[in-house]
Amino acid sequence: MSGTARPGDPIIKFLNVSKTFAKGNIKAVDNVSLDIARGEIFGFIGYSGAGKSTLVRLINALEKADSGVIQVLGQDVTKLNENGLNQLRSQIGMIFQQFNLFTARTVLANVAYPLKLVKASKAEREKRARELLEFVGIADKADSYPAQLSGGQKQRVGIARALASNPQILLADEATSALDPETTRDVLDLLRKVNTELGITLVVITHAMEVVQYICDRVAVMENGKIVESGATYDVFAKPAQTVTQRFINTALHDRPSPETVARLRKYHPGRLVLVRLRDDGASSFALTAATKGTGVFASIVFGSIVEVEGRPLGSVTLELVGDIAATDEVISRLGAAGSQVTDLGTAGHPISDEVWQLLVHTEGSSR
Amino acid sequence: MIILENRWIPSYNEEFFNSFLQTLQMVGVTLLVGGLLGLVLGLTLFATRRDGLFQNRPVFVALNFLVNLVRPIPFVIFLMAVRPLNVAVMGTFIGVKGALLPMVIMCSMATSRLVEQSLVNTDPGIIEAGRAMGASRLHVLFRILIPEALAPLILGYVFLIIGILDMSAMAGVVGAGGLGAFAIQYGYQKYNDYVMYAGVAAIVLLVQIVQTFGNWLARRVLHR
Repeated sequence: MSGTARPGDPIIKFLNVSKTFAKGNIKAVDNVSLDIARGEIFGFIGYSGAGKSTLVRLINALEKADSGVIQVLGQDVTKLNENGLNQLRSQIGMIFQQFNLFTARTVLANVAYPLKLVKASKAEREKRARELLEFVGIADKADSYPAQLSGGQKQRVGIARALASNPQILLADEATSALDPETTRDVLDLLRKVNTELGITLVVITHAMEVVQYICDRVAVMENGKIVESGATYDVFAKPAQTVTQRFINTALHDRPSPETVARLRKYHPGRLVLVRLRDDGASSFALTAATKGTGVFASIVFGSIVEVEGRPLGSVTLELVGDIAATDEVISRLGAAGSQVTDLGTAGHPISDEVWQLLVHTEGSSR
Repeated sequence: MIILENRWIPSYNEEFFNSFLQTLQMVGVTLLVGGLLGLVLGLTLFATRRDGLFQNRPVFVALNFLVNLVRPIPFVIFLMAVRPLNVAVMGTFIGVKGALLPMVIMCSMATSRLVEQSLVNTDPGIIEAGRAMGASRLHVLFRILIPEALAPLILGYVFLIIGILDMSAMAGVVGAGGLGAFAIQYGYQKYNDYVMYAGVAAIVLLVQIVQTFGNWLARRVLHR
């Protein structure tokens, strides 16, 4: 199976991979099987200690697996010796939460450094490093030292350094977790550019669902060393199967009112409150007008949020339906018939507490 | 009749100059040989410790024990204690030549701890970055970690030079001479404070120069 990768083959393949740390006998990675395709941006999301950092370090063998097969670029990394590993690693770039730049070297020297390892000439190294600094947008900082840079600039250096040896894969370990929201966006935009312009496969580890929402094509949710859910980002957002996934989605969407919010809403909106999830086909928004037409029900939006995931809209709104029971029932059934998922929260006089919804917003609240 | 005088006698000029040279000689050789040996030992300690680049428990335990064995011995006693070894290796245990071996041994032990400490204090993320790039473990150790730890290493070596100066003063016991011995023999023991303070002043001046230069150098390589 070595060196005979075909274009359609996954660039990274995990098969029944496990890894236990001797200290505390913690199963960091538990029987994981997964394929990552060439050219995609794949995200691993999970809370601290879920095993995602360990899993991604198995790709470049910074950690060794106890069992299972890990194929990267057509090679089984568990069978490579140190020389083979070092050659493979030069084809896999990596960036870190704390940037891990060489503080004793200038920005230019940092970026040029990996090229020393592949024995490029001094002129070549400098030329390539300057090109990369241009690519990441900090050409003017070439002679600065890392300590003189802001967090976003440091990560740009990290990215340039990771790209120096022309890798086919870039591993991003919580690469934006130490950055403010605006800088996070800039760095994510840059990572997307790395993917689209250079065709590099990206593996992104994060605990922030916004990051997944913003750049990932596919995502795997990790908990206790296991992948509990995975799929195309939009599908996972639209139809989460696991509670932990729903909790992560809530942090990115902020579209569902918490029980406390609902209690406040009821003071001003005594009518029937319903939570309606929007689907990307636009049916829900049409149905809103169609759903009320002729029923005499007055519908207004009192809460909600709609965001883009993979370029498609997703989210939910909470409506207040004012009208008699039969009429509002009719509106709810029409919304449901149009393909929307509807949760009835009842009126101020007769509140309904949907258990699933309560659980979701409650768990989110307690985890933050 | 004993003459008690607090004054500089011109014939001391040559003695003082020779003592100065002896001090430089002892400190220079010890720093070079002991400092280099200590660097190797310190790198070994750092690399073989648990989760180190070349984790190796037997080597670490043995070396750790050796360093802890030698370091607490007061240098004056150590000078005497290593006489058999000294005679076997250097052919003598007196004079500058006799002082060098114990000084080098003691210096390498102290250096090993300084080096180990400086390296332990470097950010482990930098090792990971180097490994992720495909750098070999030796490369990480010598080409990445040492440059990263250069400033604390320089300051550590400056600290060391001053310790060596201290040792060289004690080496007067075996007739190695040097500024310390000069201050004791011609100053303290002859009740000639003037001469004693001259010897002390020369040592203090040396320390000041070394420390100032070391600070300057460390600042130049530190970019944090």
